[in-house]
Amino acid sequence: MRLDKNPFVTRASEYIDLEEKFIQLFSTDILQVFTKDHDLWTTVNIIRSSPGGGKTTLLKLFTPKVLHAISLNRSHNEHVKDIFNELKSRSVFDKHDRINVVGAYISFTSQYSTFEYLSLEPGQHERIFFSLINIRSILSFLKALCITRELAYPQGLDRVEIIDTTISSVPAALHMLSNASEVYSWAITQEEKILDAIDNINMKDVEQPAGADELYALDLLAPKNIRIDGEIMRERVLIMFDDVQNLSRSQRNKLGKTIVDKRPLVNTWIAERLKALTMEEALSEGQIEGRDLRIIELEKFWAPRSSQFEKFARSVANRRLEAAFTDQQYDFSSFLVAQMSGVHSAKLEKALKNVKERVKDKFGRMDQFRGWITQKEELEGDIFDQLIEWRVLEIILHREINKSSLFSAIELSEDELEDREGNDVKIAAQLFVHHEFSIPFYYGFELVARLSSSNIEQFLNIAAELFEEIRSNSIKKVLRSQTSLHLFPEKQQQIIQKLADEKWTNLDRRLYEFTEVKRLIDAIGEFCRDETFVPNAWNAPGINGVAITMAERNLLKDYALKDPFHVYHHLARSLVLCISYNLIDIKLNYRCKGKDLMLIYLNRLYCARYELPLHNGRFKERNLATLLGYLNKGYQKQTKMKI
Amino acid sequence: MKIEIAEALLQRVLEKSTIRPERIDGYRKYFQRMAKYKYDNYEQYATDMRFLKKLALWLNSIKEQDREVAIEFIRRRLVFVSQSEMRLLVEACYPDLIKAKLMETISEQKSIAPWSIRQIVQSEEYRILLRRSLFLGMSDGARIDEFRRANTGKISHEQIYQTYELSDARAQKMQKELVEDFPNLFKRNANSDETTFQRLFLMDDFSASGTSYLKYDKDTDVLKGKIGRFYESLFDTKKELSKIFDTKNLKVYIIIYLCTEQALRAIESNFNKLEEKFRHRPELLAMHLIPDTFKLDPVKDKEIYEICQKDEYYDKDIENKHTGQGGADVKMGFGKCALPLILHHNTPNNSVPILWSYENLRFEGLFQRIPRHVVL
Repeated sequence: MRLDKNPFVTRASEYIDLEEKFIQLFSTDILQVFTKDHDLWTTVNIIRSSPGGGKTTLLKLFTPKVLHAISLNRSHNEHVKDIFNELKSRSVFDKHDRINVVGAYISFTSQYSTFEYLSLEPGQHERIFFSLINIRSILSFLKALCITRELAYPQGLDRVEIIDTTISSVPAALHMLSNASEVYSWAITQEEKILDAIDNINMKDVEQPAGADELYALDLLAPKNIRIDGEIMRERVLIMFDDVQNLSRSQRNKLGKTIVDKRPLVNTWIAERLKALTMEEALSEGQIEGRDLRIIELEKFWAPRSSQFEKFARSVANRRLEAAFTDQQYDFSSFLVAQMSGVHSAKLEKALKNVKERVKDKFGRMDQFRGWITQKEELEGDIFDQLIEWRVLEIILHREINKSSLFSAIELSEDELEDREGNDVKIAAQLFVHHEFSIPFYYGFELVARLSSSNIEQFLNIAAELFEEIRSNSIKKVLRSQTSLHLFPEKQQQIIQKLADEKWTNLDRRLYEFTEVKRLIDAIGEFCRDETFVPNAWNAPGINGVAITMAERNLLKDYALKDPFHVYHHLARSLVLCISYNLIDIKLNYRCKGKDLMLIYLNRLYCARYELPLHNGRFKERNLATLLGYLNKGYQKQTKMKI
Repeated sequence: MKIEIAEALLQRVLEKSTIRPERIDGYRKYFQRMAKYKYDNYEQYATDMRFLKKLALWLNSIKEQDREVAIEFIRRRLVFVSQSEMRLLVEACYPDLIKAKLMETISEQKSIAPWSIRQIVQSEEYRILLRRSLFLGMSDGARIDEFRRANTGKISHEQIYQTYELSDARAQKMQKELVEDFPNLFKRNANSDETTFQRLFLMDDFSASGTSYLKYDKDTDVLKGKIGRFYESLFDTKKELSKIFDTKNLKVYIIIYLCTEQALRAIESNFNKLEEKFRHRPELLAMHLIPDTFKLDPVKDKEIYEICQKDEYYDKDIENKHTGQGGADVKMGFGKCALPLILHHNTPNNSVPILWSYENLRFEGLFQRIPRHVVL
């Protein structure tokens, strides 16, 4: 094992210039977002996620150097072959295994938003903005084409012809040009002019660059308009705009609208962080299928597919271990002990004794439960399993005691007990013993994947911390050969809770408003904890979310957000911030008890702070006034009536 | 040595101490990262003796009950100035310090508002003053090569020289180049009053006690140190050096990239004597000032202070006639500077010797120092 670096701290997208390393770290599971029944190549794809969702990694897969490397290495490496096959099934390679997509990647930096500060005539900002996008698209495409076709760049552009340069909105200066080499020179000159203009605050002594009202490049670069060595281009053209969140609000809106309205002749993808969304968009449904547009929100895509995300995370983790350690293959999940069974500790013994005594003291004299208690008394074997069995029984007995029965003297059968011992109650029992006796709950790969809240970077952050501990064990193993590399549940939980606390503390540094946002999240977390840890675990395995009605959500979206003086404006804004930074996950139009609800789930990593379960589903409705109270004053615990 | 073996060695040494096991992992991780980031680049380390191994051996030579204090000192108080950090100070020297000083003169001279930067810098007066400035190194650590490269195109190579001890021939050549540059730079010949240098920047990398720069010896009534000696030749009209300067209007700046407050005070305290003797007062500028609070304090840093004072971690062999000038012993570093500072190329002897004590002595430091005055 090479131990001088942590394979989980680097990000695949950082390796774009090292194609082979990038491919090595790439996991094909992310390609599931482009479902095979959806035609990837006919709509504008908008890919959104919070930071670290995997947008850039996804886009960079379609860049020509990476595609070349995949094509070259597919016969030497099974993993590369898998990627190749997945891409081929999505028409990225043609039936002759040739690259079938020329992917031009354009990342927006904050440079674009500086246009807004140039002292220009009204409307000119937008024209220069579009002009630069057109030019960057042309240059990026020409370079991508040369790499795909293995032409020298830019000399090889002599062999490329742009057939019609007179199409609508194309600047007059381009009408006379057709050779791609000439177009390249023209674009370089235009780019320089624009950059000079940006650098010169006063716009004095600077030649005004030609503006554009349209994204003409998206038509100009259509495959049927390009000839290479006299033949019409056979590949698709893909223009990928990344980091759209760095544009100003008006630039982003204009760009999105123009692309969608235009129905461009080249495939266009846009990737942006959730924070780029307008407040209304943030409170709207993410996954939209349409004739001309498809919005893919990565976290929302994975949320209902937890087992698929787990598989994806597993593959990402193992790919990283494989890349870091060439001596042998490791399965990351095998380092994380996923069973408490077999662990013997005084803590467990004490907890078991305690629960047994509680059950017998409270219910031991009730005839109807005698059989159930006797059955548990006969249990033998693993202490943790026994503890959970007894704690499940305690929950069930609390439920039974609340039921009024005419037949309370009749002893209940073992079958009746089995009927009541569902998986949810078992998870609740595990959570309860964690709460009461500090017995680990958050451990094992499955839970680590769930803790990631469908965000791959969050997963990598957790994995990086866990890996550090594995690494520590391997150092200790040099000194004491009997040291195990495995992380036992207690250690895993300790690391996870420490990470959750650190992330929580660091939130303040990201945005000043987080002090209040944290109060809201804290209140929701504490409310959920209060509702979870009730003796009869009525909502087993526990709740980790709240809900408002869709009517209330509409009020927030349509009125409160737009009116700074609205009583719920601050609440609406805080919820939007929570969504943008992946602190909560929302689900719209959830039908429950005759009501349409918007569910608000806590980010799973923060669930660990409040000792909540990580499963989706359980929530409790709260009205807006209550949530506003949470935001302003935090959670005020209410005295409950005994259940 | 493989990194995991070095770490295991460190682990074992730390396990034999008063440090709680959960903190040991934290130390190990921290130092593994810092070793990679900075400490392994200490230029006096041998190829097979990098930081982690050295740290383990160093801690091993410290008593078990003192190890926690020692490692906590390295973790919290040690400041390691890397090559890139030092280069940053050198590169920022002209734009941040020298330029401001020259602009200040032109701003006053031409009554231009100090914030009209472009107007000042583009003026002929500024450009002439810049060309009539001389930049000389005060020691081989002055990084004059880096300074020259960082300012290519702004400052002529003919006005930068690695030492202040200019030979007559070199001084004359520099003056000749100044005159010859005029037609090229300013489209005219130099006037008779423009053929000498008006600004002198004497540059050095580091000073902790200041004693080697300027020290007044009451007994002999002599100003010792580099500045004292330089002033002797600068204002000696018999010497060639004085002829290349416009001594009436000359301003001398001493620039030290990294300077302690103690050194600043010590040097400046002798400026009156200097002025008395030569009727000229230089100005001392520090690119980065190390405050007094940075030194180990006998009260606030009581535990490590006491360890430094222990004879078992101090070898009297590190003392010599040069260190004697700074005080009775050097348990807290030369000049009692008590610094927890390492420079990437060598540890200053003003740092506490527990850090730098020489190789093959009874107690060896973590960042062993190469002595300046080697006994052959």
